Formats: sequence, C-alpha cells, structure tokens
Amino acid sequence: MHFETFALGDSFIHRIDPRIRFVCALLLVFTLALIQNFWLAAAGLFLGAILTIMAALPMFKVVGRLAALNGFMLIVWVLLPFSVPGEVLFRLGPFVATWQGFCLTLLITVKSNAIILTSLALVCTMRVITLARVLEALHFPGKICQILFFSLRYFQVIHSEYHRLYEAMTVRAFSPRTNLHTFKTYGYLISMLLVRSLNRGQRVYEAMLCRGYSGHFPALRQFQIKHSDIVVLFFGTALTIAFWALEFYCKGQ
Amino acid sequence: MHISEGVLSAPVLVGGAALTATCLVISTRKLQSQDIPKTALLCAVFFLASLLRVPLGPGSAHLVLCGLMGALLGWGAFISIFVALLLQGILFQFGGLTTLGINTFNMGAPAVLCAALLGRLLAGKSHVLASTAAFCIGFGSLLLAALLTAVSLYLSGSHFLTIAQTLLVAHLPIAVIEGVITAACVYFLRKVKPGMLPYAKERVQV
Repeated sequence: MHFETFALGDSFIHRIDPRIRFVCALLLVFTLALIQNFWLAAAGLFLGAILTIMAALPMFKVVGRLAALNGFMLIVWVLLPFSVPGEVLFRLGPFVATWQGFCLTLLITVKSNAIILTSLALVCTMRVITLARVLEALHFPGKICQILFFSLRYFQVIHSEYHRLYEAMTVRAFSPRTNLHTFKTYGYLISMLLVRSLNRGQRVYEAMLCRGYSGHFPALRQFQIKHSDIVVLFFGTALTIAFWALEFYCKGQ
Repeated sequence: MHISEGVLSAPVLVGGAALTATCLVISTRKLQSQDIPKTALLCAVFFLASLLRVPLGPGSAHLVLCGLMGALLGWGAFISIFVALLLQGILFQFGGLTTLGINTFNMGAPAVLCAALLGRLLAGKSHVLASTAAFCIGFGSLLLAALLTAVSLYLSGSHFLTIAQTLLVAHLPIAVIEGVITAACVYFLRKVKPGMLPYAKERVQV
C-alpha cells in the first residue's frame, strides 16, 4: 500500500518477529495511555524517541506526523488550562489559567507524543498485510481478519477508480465549493464507486470460491521466533511491569 | 472525530474497549460469509471517505459516512468501521490502538442505531421520503457520534467540558453535510442499484 511510509526500512526493529513486536507495542502503548505520573510519561516519551531512532525512521516524516498530532493538541492547550480549578497561574481577561490545568495539559501532550512515537516505531514498521497476518496468528476472529485482507485489496481498486472518476469530473469543470451541487456530486461519486466496485468484488469473490477459497490465505513465509525475539519480549514485559510498579509506588507515597 | 491517544482516562478507555468487543462479537456472529466482500468494500470506502476533503466555508472537513455504513450494512457496519479505524490509526496515526475501542463504539453504535430505526424507509416507494430518511440517518448518526465523543471526554474529567462543547458545536455543520451526501448516495443507489439497499424487494446476493 502506498501509504505505508515507515514499513519499508531495514533495522533491528524491522527484523523483530512481527507478532512479538505487536504484543510489545500493545503492552507499552496501553501502559503509557493509563499511567498518570508525569515523570513516567516523560520516561515513556524518551523510550519512544529511542525506539524511533533504533528503527531508523525517516526523521522528516516522523516530525510531520508529530506536527499533525500537536496541531490538535493546540486546541487542548487553548482550552484546557482555563477549565481546571486550582492555583491561579495567570489571568487573561475573564479567563483564569491554573497551575493544575497547565500540568494536566502538559501530561496529556507528553503522553500522546510518547504513544505515537512508540507505535510508529513498533507497529508502523510492519506492512499492513503483515499486521493482518499477526492478528490472524493471535487468533483474532477470522471474519474480521478476512475483511481486513479484502479491504486492503479493495482500497487500492477504489482509490484508482476514484482518481479516474474525479479526473472525469475535473475535465467537466467541476470545482468543489460549499454548495448543494458539490455535496450532491460527492454523494453520486461515492455511490458510483460503490456500484462499480461491488460488481467487480462479487465476481472476484465468486471466482475465489470456485478455486476452493475457504476463508484462509495460505502464506509462503511463516513467522519464526528467533532467540533475539525472546529477549525483546522479555524486555517489553519487564518495561511494562517496571512502569506499573513505579506508577503504584509513586501513587502510594 | 477521533479522540487522540493519551487524553482519555482509564475507565473510559477500558469501558469503550469492552463495549466495542461485545458489539464486534455480535456483528461477527450475524455476518454471513457471502457478505464479507460487501463489508470489506464499504470498509475501504469509509477509509477513502476520510481522505476526501469537502470545502466548508473558509476551511474544509473530511467525510465520515458512518450513516451510510449503517444504512447499507446494518450490524456489519461495526466491523467495517473497526477495520477502517485500525487502518487509519496504523497508517496515519489518527486515533490509534489505545483509543480504537472507544472510537469504534462512538461511531459504530450511532450508525447501527440510526439505520435500525430508519433503514426500512430507504427502500420505500417515495423518493422524497427515502431521501429524507437518508438525510436523517447521515445527520443523526454523525451528531450522535459527536455527542458520544463529547460524553466520553466529559466522563474522563469534568474539566473537559469546554472542549466537549466546542467539539459538539463544530460538528453541527459537518453533520448537515453528511446528511446531504448520504441522501444523495441513497437517491443515486435507488435509481442505479436498488438491490444494494436493505429491505429492497429484490436483494442482490453478494
């Protein structure tokens, strides 16, 4: 898929068994999402940065993704410091920014960035088709995996079909504006895409059934766990336990 | 519409994941294997729609189409929204793994609900009635989705109230656009391929 910006690299992280990588990513991102201690979140951000460097991701693109996320965070920065009651930090007309609000906003920003960096390094470094296989290997419901496989294929078909139709619209002097005509045209465009691709999808599916498709795609390459993968899994679990232990320890104090 | 990672509190994240898991189990049970291509196809359309930008005044908004998903798939909409959000999270970091549960529920539940209430009218005789119903499905499911998102923010802490209100108000015009586009889609499908709509007399076997 041409949106897989980070999948086609070669690094230590890219070589870890995808199943292990996915499980470690799940453990770490859920831990980072649930912890409330600021210093632990900052440690998570540091961990995410190290993982990103280890995965040798194109820095320019990573910064682009982070910028998009922090664009949304800007709204939070404008609104949240003023809505938490507490010690007054500064006043802006009738609005009062509080120290507690500031801390909370900072915590949220650090946590989001930490999670994004971790999942960029661990999950986005595999191709989506590999992820579908990982989900299958982890006994995710078969029908959902099949839909993931099929929709990856259909997306490419629909995307090229969309470009063809949109070009035809542009040739006929269509330029999108905020009016009823534009919305109607978009509606017709989407349903035309549906009608065309559904016919085609149905023919392909029937042809697959004729050739013995039974809901499973055989793979040429099977996943294999190496010694280094077990070490990675151990480290991932140990980190998760350490994060939780420190979180509860700090809360207890 | 997606809530970014790291914002919500633990009970909301866990509760959302549990609700989504339950709904996914129900919808996989209900999904027949011959409906898999259709569900996957609509999942791809849902994913594509999030890349389409519709001009809205000085800025632009992206389409969501959760109402259309619900209208065409019923319970299957849940699976296709789940898969599409997973893809968005992995490919573009919109939403993400930790918020996948709550985000899927926030968009999937209104889609299934609105379509279950009004879906029967889409295949009726009158074009006006069908288009109105389609508008209501598109408008209602997006607005409900925004409302659920706002509620899940509010449940994470009452200090999110201003952000939740802002979010809800910002989604009003988008909901109107969604309604119009859903109505146009249904109008077109009624003329070109009525069998795709639920409760149509001659259903296409897919």
